Amino acid sequence: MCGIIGCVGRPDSTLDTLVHGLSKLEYRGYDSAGVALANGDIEVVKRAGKIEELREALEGRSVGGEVGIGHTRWSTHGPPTDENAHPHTDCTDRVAVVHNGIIENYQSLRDELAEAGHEFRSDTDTEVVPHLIEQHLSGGADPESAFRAAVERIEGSYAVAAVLAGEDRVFAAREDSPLVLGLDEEAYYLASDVPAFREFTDKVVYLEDGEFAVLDAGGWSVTDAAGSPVEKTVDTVEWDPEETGKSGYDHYMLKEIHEQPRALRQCLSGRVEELDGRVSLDVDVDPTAVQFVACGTSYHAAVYGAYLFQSIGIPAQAFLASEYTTSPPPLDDELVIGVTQSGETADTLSALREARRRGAKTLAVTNTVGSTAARECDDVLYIRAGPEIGVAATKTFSSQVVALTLLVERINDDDRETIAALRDLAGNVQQILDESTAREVAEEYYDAGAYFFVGRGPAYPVALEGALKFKEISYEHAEGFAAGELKHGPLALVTGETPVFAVVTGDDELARKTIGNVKEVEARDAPVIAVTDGRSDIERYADHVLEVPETDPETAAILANVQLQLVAYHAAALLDRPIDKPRNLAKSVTVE
Amino acid sequence: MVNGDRVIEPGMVEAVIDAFDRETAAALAVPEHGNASRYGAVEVGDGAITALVEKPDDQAYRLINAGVYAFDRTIFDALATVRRENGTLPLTSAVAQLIEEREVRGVRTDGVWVDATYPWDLLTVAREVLRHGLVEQRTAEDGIWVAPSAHVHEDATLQAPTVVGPDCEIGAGAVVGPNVALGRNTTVGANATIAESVLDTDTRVGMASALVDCVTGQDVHVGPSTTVPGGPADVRVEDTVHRSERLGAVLADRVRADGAVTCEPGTLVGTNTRLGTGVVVSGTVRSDAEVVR
Repeated sequence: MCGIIGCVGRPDSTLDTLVHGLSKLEYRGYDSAGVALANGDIEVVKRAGKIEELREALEGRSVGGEVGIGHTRWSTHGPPTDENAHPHTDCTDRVAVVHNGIIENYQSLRDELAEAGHEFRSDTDTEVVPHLIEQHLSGGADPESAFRAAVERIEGSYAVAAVLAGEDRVFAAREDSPLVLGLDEEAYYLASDVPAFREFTDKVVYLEDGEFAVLDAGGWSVTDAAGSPVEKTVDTVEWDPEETGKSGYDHYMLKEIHEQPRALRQCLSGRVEELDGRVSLDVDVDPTAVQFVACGTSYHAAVYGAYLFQSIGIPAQAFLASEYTTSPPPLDDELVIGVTQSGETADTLSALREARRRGAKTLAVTNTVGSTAARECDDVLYIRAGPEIGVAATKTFSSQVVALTLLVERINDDDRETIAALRDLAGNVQQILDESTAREVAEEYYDAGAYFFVGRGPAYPVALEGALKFKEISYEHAEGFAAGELKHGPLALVTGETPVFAVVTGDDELARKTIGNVKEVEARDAPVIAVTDGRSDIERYADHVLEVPETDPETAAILANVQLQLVAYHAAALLDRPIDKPRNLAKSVTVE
Repeated sequence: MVNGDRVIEPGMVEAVIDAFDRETAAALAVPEHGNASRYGAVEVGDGAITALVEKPDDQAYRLINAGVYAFDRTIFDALATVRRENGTLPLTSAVAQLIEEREVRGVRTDGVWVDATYPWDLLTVAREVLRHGLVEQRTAEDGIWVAPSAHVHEDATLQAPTVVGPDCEIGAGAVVGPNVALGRNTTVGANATIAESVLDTDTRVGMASALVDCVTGQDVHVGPSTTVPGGPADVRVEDTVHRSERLGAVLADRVRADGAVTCEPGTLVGTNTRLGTGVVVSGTVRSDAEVVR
């Protein structure tokens, strides 16, 4: 998914308007961004990375123009590099194009254009469009006809916009990708979605498939594929610009928590066959031992992954990436797996580079196609969670854990129960989202002084993650411990005012031992909140119960984590914290 | 204004908009329906509606109020004078008032019009939707739509019309169709037979089950050898008995049927209810219940 924007009629602030619009479209992707402004020439500024990087690149430069276009990208084909960022230009730098969608016949067009002498600078499908326009311009066509002729040649899905040097107009067309016009008194906009310009106007015109639009400072027109004018209705949008992109949720984090069933289905799609008990992954690994490197939430997924590998008899350890680089463990023929949502986390990248330098085979587990980790590692396993905007990772943790479970099941190809449980996971998460009482728990305890989270085995990383989520967004003190460690120190901190969240699923040795630790806490009058599937008798020692559906032990932890995400969210909401952008934190940490 | 619980053809809305002008207080779509006595019937004379008759006993009616309206502002005045019934303002009473005072146009249209008030209406909706090929997936082969990501065993049989959603799995020897819609991520076990049914996302059907005229919600698990023989049946909803509905069973979200369960025709099972092995259920089973032998 990508976002495009165009603007005419604000000659003094074209650039600011475009960059502002792109920041509102960031939910549609944020791995590279760029703008093109048309004056006598075309000026293009584009950068791999977030819109912040583009802002920095623009700092101190005077880029002006009567009209302009912009783009924010979520890579699907070709890595997020400066070259692959939009806008794309022709050989003469007189035509610039932004595009959202996929051009299916780009290879044949590219071959044809290369034959005719055009030089391509990127790996993208989009770049054929400016060259096609150039081709028609040099054949004598006027700008509008050249744009139409170019669009007629492309097959697939597109919302496309173009500016030309010396032209104060923006040309646009759509087929199967969204495109909407915004009408202000003297300025006109186009964008993939209304929030891009909602701050300036509430009057919009939605384009239909096959329609073309031309915007200039004097007005706007829409024509059909044959060039005949189309009468369009002007709609008025009513919602508040702040709400957009969040689909009605108060925060991106809550939206992303609720997106988990879909994200998990996406992660599993085409990879599991329940009836044949088969997992197929496009990853060529068969490790005898594993070292994980990761940071933050991804590290918790890695701890979980290490547990899974050990459970099938493959030695595995999880390392904090920043420690791994400076104090590396002995390395024999271990597979080194880097877990990073963005694929750009500097600490993880340098740990992976260290491992490669020492001759290890590396695998990236990431959400971002074409990211640095994906490019540099020998192999990559995509978690397919879709864009995540909230700084506190939620759906990407679940998808990381599921992707690692798939990897382990692929290697250990005889566990139908886990595969069936994976197929069942999305429905189980939905049940938690529908029935959770996490808000009531948050209401009861959101003003406590400190919070502790405990678990054993696969529930241990869930306790760590539950505490991290809680402290990240609530700013309250929260710590996760292996349940057995409590009595070796932290128990000194436990009082009647420190709620303890205990993750206990199943009714085995593990559960019984954790319950033993819970009794130690209960004896100190601490309120106990049990996250449980109800199979053990922990409810007898708990003040509150957060239920999760019964499932396979390999996947139960994912469900428990969803309950803890909800508790953290509701507590932070009650404390009125800036949930999507907690202080001092960034989504993807690209410094060591 | 369009009623929310109907599946209608866009052309019906366009026709009503076209027919509506300054002269008229309102315009309504009035398609022909073979069973007009089940709905709001209308009498039309010379293009204008002369009367609205709610569920007439008389079989003479053949035009119905499709629930597709265009109004001018006077509808608000009419609504202001209407008396509340069970806490709601009956729109049809306001329309009846407009009919007496001014012209309300009846717009004859045709095309898809299916009512989806009750869960079992989904079966009719699915039949109509499949009959007209209104399916999201683009490619069909002889009335069979299979998502590219679905796995259908080579020894399974699909009978047209049927739609198989993304990531579905269908096992060996299974027979699916006709008039079946399988939602995303649904599994149909080996030798199961499913006909005239709508199974929502994440439903699991165990081996050798037979489901006819069956509606399942999301994440329903039906164990091996479960039997839903199909309608017709009398179905009771609150105080109303719906006679001779073509309904096998409705299994609401997250129902678990452990195996060898039999649902007599017309059974409604509430959310999260567990049906133990070998039980025979009929009528209405409430939510969050556990039924054991």
